[in-house]
Amino acid sequence: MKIDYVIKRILHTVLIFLAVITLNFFIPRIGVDDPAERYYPPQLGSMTDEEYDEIKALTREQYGFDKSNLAQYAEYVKRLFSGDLGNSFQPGRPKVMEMILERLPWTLVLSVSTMVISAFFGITYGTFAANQRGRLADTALLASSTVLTALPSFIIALILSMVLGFGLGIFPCYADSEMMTSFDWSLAEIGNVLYNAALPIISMRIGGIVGYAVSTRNSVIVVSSDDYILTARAKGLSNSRILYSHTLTNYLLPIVTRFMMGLSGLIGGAVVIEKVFNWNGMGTLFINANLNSDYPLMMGVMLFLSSIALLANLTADLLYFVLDPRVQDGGRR
Amino acid sequence: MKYKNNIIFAIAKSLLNTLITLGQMIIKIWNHKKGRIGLILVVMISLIAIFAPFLAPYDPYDVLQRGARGVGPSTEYFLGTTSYGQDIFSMLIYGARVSMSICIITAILISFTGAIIGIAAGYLGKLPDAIIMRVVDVMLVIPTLPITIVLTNLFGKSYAMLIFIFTLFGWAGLSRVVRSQVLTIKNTNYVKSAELFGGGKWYVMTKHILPGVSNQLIMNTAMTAAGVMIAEAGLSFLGLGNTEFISWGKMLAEAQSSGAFLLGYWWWIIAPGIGIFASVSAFMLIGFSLEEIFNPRMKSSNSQYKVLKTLSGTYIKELFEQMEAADNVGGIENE
Amino acid sequence: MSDKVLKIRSLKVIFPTERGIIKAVEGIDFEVSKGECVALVGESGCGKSVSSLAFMKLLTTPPAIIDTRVHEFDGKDISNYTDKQMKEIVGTEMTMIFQDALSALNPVIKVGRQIDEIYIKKLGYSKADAKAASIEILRLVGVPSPAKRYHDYPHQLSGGMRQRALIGMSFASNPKMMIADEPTTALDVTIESQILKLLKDLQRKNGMALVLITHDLSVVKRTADRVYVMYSGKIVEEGPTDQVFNNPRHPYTKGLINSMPKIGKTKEEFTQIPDNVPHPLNKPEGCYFKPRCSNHDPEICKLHMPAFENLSEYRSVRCWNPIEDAGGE
Ligand SMILES: Nc1ncnc2c1ncn2[C@@H]1O[C@H](COP(=O)(O)OP(=O)(O)OP(=O)(O)O)[C@@H](O)[C@H]1O
Ligand SMILES: [Mg+2]
Repeated sequence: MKIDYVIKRILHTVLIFLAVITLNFFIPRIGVDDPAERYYPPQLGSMTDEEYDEIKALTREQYGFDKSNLAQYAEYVKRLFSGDLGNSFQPGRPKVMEMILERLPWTLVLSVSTMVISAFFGITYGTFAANQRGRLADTALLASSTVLTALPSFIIALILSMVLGFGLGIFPCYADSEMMTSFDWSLAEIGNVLYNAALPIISMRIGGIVGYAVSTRNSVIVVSSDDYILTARAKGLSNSRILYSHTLTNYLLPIVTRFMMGLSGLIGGAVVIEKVFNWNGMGTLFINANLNSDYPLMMGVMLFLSSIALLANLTADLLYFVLDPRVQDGGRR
Repeated sequence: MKYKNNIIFAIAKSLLNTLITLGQMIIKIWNHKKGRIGLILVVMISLIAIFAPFLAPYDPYDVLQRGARGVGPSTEYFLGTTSYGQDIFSMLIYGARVSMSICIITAILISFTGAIIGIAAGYLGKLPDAIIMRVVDVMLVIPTLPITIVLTNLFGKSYAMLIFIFTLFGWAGLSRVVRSQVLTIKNTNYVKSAELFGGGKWYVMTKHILPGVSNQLIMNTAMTAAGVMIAEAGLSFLGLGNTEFISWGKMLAEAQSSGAFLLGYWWWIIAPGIGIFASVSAFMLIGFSLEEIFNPRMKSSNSQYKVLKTLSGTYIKELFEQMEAADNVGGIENE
Repeated sequence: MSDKVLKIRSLKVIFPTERGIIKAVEGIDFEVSKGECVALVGESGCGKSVSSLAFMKLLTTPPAIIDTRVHEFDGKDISNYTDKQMKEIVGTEMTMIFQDALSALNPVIKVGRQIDEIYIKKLGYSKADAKAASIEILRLVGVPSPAKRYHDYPHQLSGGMRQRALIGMSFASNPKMMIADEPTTALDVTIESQILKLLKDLQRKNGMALVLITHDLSVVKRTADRVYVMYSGKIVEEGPTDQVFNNPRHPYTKGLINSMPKIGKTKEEFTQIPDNVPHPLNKPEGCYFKPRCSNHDPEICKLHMPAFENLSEYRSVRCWNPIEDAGGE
């Protein structure tokens, strides 16, 4: 019974992954006669037509475009599973996988730290607000949540970089472009990264903290009105004991899901913020790929982001499974 | 022939009913504090969008015609001008057209598709349900903004295409919610008995299930409108939105790319920011108010705390004394 | 008077809401002696649960506002006890169990661990001792193979077992008083009588006071020594169980008794009280029961709430026009 659930979730994930792969395979083939059309790098001015045709032929051979559709698909899947996402159009034709892996840490710096920060402050404040129900801390949270959720993060980013960056000069308006090449794990460099990341992180997460805080507050309130909390009180347990071993264990469940979902959303959402601050992460990589119609790179990033989302979902499901004994027995709330 | 008339009659009737429900809903929103603010804002912004040519003092596309470039807010240029010499106030007014129409149309389309697919999945069950839900799973895994960018690269970024793409990737979440509601409704006795008495699938769906999920739908439409507004603004900000018309996101993108804050042209950023903020919060306020109207539990317990603050200690004391006095009318004191 | 475990006078509880002030409990007097089983009956919404929570000072303020004249537990005046002082007696000397054991037990913690909590946190046992004691208490309340059940989660137990576990939990500390709020409503009839028997046994053996809250008169008849009948926030009749059943003096009590399903009852004898409990925001003038009372006086009942009058040493009733004494006392 228990292991059934895990296997089912994993199979389900694999199934969806296959569907995502297939979509990725088809999208660049939409609306063109030559399936390889979108995989030909642009013709440079210095190239003669013959040279370009040669490059085309080479590309077709590399991706197996001369074979039947089915064989192309098989080839595509085979390459994927060996970690080969093709080559970008950029000068030198670098491998897409390597480009993604090179940018990934810089996006993760932003999204993971924002996520941890917002979850930590959000959950703490939300719990506090729930206990202060109806008082200033609580009403302020509810009021600010309406304002902040209605303000897209890139507008917050623009305003912050205008005020704190340009106006007061506390933080840089644009990320230091040298930073990424010169990074060497020295304390000074780490400090420099954090200094540059401050504004992006703040602007991405002001709304996020409030979001976490509100949902924490609401679930604490809902959980507190549950019967077993009354039982815990009728047992004369101390307030902190009730909070940590009875309320928390239950309200953390939905928040775990939110946290994992947040991860996949954030990496996608970082695209816009990266643009505001000229941050050289995956978002910028993707935007530039789009400007060049660099399909191998675009589809590679897409596939990568979808896989992260998929893994995050699976992790959330499995965490739920570990944390909630009811799921282990096949029932779900 | 007669059958045909019946159908027309039925459609007219259900249309009328929908209108009545909608009217009642608007009254409910109007009677709700947050909802009223949202409603007023949406109506106001929509009116501005419709009458933009009459309201805008200048032609917002008018570039390089005047010497006034990068001028701050003044009596002449209400919200200042861009570094190209466009009047920002006029741009703001015209921007409402694109931003508002895209998000209202998309929100309605998403609600329709999401509802129909969700109801179909929930009500038909079995294989159709399984297939639809797997498709939904896939849709939800694909990151929205990147796929939108890829698709605009493929198909262009005309106004209609944007709406189409937003709809294509927006319905999945809603249909999952609708489906689970349908499953709940489907198992209630009234639907079961309707089926028992020979109500066809179509009859049961329109008569019982649609009204059951309509609250969710209306709420969702408002929230989706807010979400689309943010998405469209983000896309335009990236320079990937529709390029023909002025939109608020595009104004921000131009401001940023011409270094508005390096030049100190703060008005160029604040103005479209306020436009986006006002309309997003308008839709959200409507959404929140509907949530509270349909699901009053959290709200009413929140309001208890407010009421408590307005009560004075002496009033409560008097109340308790009254209770005791009422108890002793018979003259026999307990104990 | 020292044998009184709980003594409360003029308990009043109100809930301010947006639409007005809900008067949930309007001045009730209540007492329980050592080793006594007292029932509090009334229809849904009359304020039983609110009162019982107030007995243990478990209502949260806000939203509730509470006032009492006298509030004594085991001879001590607890009316001014702080939250911290209350925690010393709640859960050990006075305990409580609830209607729906599934939701009253924490779904993500093992049943055994939830009982351990009492031993460890309240009685200072070591972990190992607590486990042994919990298994012992599970055995005592009749949970089969307790050592195994100790490791189960609430949803893995049957309804009856869950209620037993809950009873065990509130019995672990040998309390002076236990309040059981509709302990059997969620169970089917055979399990119901087992649980009631268990509660009675525990009560008798340990001289514990038991407050049984229910809307089911047959439960009262089987278990309680004394009964309080509550209507719309007020006590309307009080007395020893057999006397109240044989000789109800308040028309509401009589109505409740008549509406009890009973074998051999003819159709005419089985009658439901007309209408429903008044909405707490919209209570009638005068006697609250008047609109539903077939025997009310159009004048006085409409004007004033009757007082709670002593009829004899043990019996009191709140009615202008009590049903005549059928004798036999
Ligand atoms: N937190 C609260 N806020 C407002 N009103 C409340 C609150 N808790 C209880 N009440 C009101 O107090 C009254 C008494 O409720 P209570 O739960 O004590 O009834 P009861 O007799 O236990 O009914 P039941 O048999 O259904 O359990 C009800 O009218 C209820 O609406
Ligand atoms: Mg109750």
